[in-house]
Amino acid sequence: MSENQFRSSKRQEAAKRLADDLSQLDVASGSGTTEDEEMLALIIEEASQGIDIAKRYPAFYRRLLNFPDLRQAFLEILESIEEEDGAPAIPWADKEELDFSFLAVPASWPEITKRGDNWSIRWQRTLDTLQTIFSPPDLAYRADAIFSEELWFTLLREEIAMEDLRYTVALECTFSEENEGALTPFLNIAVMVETRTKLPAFPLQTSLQWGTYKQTIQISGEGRAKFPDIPINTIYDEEHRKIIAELNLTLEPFP
Amino acid sequence: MSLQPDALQREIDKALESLAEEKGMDLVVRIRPILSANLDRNRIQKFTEGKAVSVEEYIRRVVGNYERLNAYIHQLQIERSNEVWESLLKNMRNWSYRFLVKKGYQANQVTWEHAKECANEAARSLLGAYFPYDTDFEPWARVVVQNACLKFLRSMGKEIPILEESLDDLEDTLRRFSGLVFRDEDRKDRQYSELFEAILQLSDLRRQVIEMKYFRNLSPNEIAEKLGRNVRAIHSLQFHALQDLRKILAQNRNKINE
Repeated sequence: MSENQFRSSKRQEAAKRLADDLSQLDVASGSGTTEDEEMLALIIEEASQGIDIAKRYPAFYRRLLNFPDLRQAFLEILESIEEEDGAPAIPWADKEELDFSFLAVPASWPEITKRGDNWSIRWQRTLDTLQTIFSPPDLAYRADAIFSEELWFTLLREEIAMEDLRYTVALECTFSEENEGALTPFLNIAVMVETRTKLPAFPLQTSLQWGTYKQTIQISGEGRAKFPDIPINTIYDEEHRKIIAELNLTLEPFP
Repeated sequence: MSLQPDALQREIDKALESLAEEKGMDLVVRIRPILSANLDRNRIQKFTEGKAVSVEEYIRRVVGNYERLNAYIHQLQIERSNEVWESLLKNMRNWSYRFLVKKGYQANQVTWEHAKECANEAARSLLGAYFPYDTDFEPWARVVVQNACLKFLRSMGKEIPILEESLDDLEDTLRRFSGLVFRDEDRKDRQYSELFEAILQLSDLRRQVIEMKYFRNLSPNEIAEKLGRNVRAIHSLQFHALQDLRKILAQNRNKINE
């Protein structure tokens, strides 16, 4: 093969790659999945560091080409970071005090019960709080948001001290992969030991009660535990618009 | 193609074993629930894209971010420290304001008030949101803020323009090229002649990015250095160039058909 032929062949390969990318552009509508949107921050960080995302994340790069809304979200944030360096100061930005009232979310303090060496902690989530968590989200770049577009719901994230131990508890749920019309709750639990002589009080047991649903599982150590699925009809009205039951989560030593 | 769940879990366990030897079991215990949550969310799968070798890279990334950011996240979400929130909230307001102005709002105090609302909405979301530790905090917070701004725009009944066009660059599309890169013999291949013609009609900067990325196989960093631009701008130029090319190809085809 002559040099010219090689060069031409190389150029044709390059043109083929370009044509392939062009053919992928906007073949789908919208912004991809919620998982795609949740990956945006990571991809933006990588792009900012000069990582070739087409080579490093070929599947996600394809999705950026396929979904115009997802691509727009990616570009707008990237461009906003880029433009910030030379952006003029905002005249009103420093002139007033900040309002931190949003931090004072009405606390639902956990109820702690102690009987000798036994103890139990109970967290409650009211209807209003749950409705806010599950309210149909106006997801970015989507025309018609329905609540089933959101994948993960954080029901509770709390930290509490109990007998020289600090428990960090996070309860979240997602749509069940096994049962249609059900949610799968997960509990993350981490423990910090505040005095060297105190060992974590595992095993523990945790009970989740939500409407007519009540399940108790044993937790043998720090990590992530899965509850049995909750039928959505247990907690939602018939139109799936309104939560109809409060939630209670209890944590205590395994008897 | 993703790693099978069992294979993925084995890679995670292997990486955690070596991490435990290096940094101790305490850290592994802290990281494990984060990894489990990220696995449930398909984040690990999307990061590794089927490559076993990337699993350890992912875990080290999470560990690094956890060691660096956990105290900060704790102060934001659990302690809700005013002092820590102060600089973040200021940034969130500025991001919101600039986003709204870019979407067509006037650069005035009314828009600033809207930006404050958006920032507060984003802050409330951030308080309860799950932070995956596989990304830096700022890009993650910016996504939350942008989503809050878009929610605001929708609530105001404002249409969100998709694929805003840079009119200045499009006006350049019919400019004669200079510094010809593509040689005549390439044009002989009819299969690609339309494409080459369209490339030549791009603005200078976008044409150069396309040439360097596809025809010279340069990395974003290399292109950025050659063009004297930030690497973020290169990603942006590349995607805008692809959009322009599609448009030009369609326009050229319409001209032929007329």
